[in-house]
Amino acid sequence: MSLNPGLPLLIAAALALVLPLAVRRPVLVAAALASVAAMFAPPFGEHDVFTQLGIRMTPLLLDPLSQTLGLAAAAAAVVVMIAAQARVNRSEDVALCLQAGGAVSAVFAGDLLTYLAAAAIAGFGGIGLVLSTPTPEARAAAMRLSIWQLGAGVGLCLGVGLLGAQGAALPLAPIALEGTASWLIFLGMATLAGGPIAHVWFKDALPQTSTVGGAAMAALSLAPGLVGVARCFAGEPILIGAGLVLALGAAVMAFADSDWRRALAYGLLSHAGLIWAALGVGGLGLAGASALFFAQTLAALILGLAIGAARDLVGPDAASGANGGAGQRMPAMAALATVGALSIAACPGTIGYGARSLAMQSFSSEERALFAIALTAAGAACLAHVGLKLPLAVFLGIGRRRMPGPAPDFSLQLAAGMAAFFVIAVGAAPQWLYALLPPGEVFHAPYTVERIAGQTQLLAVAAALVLLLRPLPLMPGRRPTELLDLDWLWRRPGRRAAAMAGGALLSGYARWSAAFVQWTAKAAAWSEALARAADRPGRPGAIGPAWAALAAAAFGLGLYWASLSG
Amino acid sequence: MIVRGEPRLGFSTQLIAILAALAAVAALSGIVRAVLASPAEDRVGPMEAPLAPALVAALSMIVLWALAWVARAALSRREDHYIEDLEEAEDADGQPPSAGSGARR
Repeated sequence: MSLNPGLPLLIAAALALVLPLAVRRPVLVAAALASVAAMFAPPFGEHDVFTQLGIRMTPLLLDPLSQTLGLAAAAAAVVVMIAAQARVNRSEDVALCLQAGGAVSAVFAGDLLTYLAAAAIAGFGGIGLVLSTPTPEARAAAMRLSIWQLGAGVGLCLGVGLLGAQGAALPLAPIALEGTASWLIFLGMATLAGGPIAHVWFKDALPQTSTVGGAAMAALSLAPGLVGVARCFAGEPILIGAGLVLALGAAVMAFADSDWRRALAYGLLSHAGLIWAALGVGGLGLAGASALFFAQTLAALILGLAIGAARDLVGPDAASGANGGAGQRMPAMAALATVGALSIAACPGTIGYGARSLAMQSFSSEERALFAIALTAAGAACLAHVGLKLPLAVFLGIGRRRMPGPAPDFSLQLAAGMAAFFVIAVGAAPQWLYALLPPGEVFHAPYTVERIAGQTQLLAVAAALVLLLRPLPLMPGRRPTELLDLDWLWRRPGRRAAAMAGGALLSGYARWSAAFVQWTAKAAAWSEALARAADRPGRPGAIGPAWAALAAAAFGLGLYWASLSG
Repeated sequence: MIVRGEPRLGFSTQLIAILAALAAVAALSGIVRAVLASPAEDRVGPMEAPLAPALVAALSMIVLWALAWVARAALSRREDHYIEDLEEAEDADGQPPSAGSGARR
């Protein structure tokens, strides 16, 4: 018996609605562990295939790609469920299970319809995570997130529908990027994957979640989109350009933004840009992208938990700017966050280094040399924003801030510690990860003197410059402020333009309806006068009998002509 | 009675020590790359130079820093940038926000 590994988490979501706290907590962890176990039980291939309304459905497709990404997502689910033991929030527990279950299900989906359903469930879970924070800002962010998710879902539905109407089969397999259907599917998946322009939903929603919800969103919310792009559009050159734009643009915003969790969101988006670019190469790039996804998931968990705990410690209003000083009250979390940050920065000894080294290998051709340089610069930027600036801002400082919140719970530290263990363990022996990667076992040696020397030089110079700039008052991000992103265009001028257009439409409708009333009144008066004139022909004031006979003859001729032509 | 502990290094001294260590690491890695007979396959194009990673890192940090400053100068949020914040402020007390009251979180 084989089942989609996301199913235990979705069942746990239903159970979490009714189970008491004492039972709910172990059920969440057990469901996540069952999810991990389910992906190793059956052999590679399609499972439980059936036909529904003439469409071939594949709820479980096991191959190296799904196993690698699925293992990352399910491991993230385990870590998140352990962290969830730290607080009591039934609705957030349900949302966690929905998002993790949807993400894992999407990774293992073998056809577009199953993928679409799983991605929608994950989207609902993400919206629930934001709504679990009872603030007006979170409610507004959840509404905006739901619009993005709805838009992506509608695009996917239309694309899949058009593809099906053309008589094509609907497996979750490579699709040529030509024609309306494939572009709609691509845009839907790209939106879910936080692509350029659509990236705003991620930076908008992540800061509004709780500590545990933020870690789940940071690690899992991009997964359905990324796996869809990896399955259907790997090797498309457009992904390289879009990935570079995302990596470099989000790096600037991460470096400039002072809000800790928004800076983290931008930093993760910048790293996701590297995944996009590697996907655009295809072949070895797909292996590099999968490894980068694995590394990003673990690092996002650690950083999401640690920075969320620091935010709880200093209070939501104070979680921005430099000199957070949270490391004094939570030294263990600060150390774990450093591990995650170093992994995002691809420091040798972490999983991030093994993944980045493999991804850069896919750009090792002369015609891609410029891309390789740009990606190297984006990697240095990752060290600057997430690797150094953010941990220093959150954890370093003399602690002048008032810290009214509690120190992080043991469950949070245990969860972050587990993720950090994998970051270092897989980083020390990356061949274990390479053996899982698509399209089959990958042979790559990241720990050569040459590669370590190059990466060390890059990191040392970038770190030296960041540390040199940091004490200066010119360092961006020292003073709290919120930066505007592309969403400003539709949240202010776009909204005002829509309001003006709506006002103009309403005004036009009012004028039209007033004119219609006047016209119908005139028509009624005219027809009444005509009726009066036609009443009893020959009486005084009415039309004469000759005119009445002529009108009757014309009417009869009209009927006769109509019967002939009919 | 004041008990004095071990003398501690000042912030500037610590910073200079860290910067010197990082510079030494960068220089050493440059030497290693220069003397290697068989560079890795992913050293392509301009990245073949021994100090190419340092150059890329330095340039990218300067560009990143400059762009971040431009972003902060041009994109810092002011009072009425997001219209729904104004509406929320109006909803709170039934009155539009007075000048300078702000709708910041």
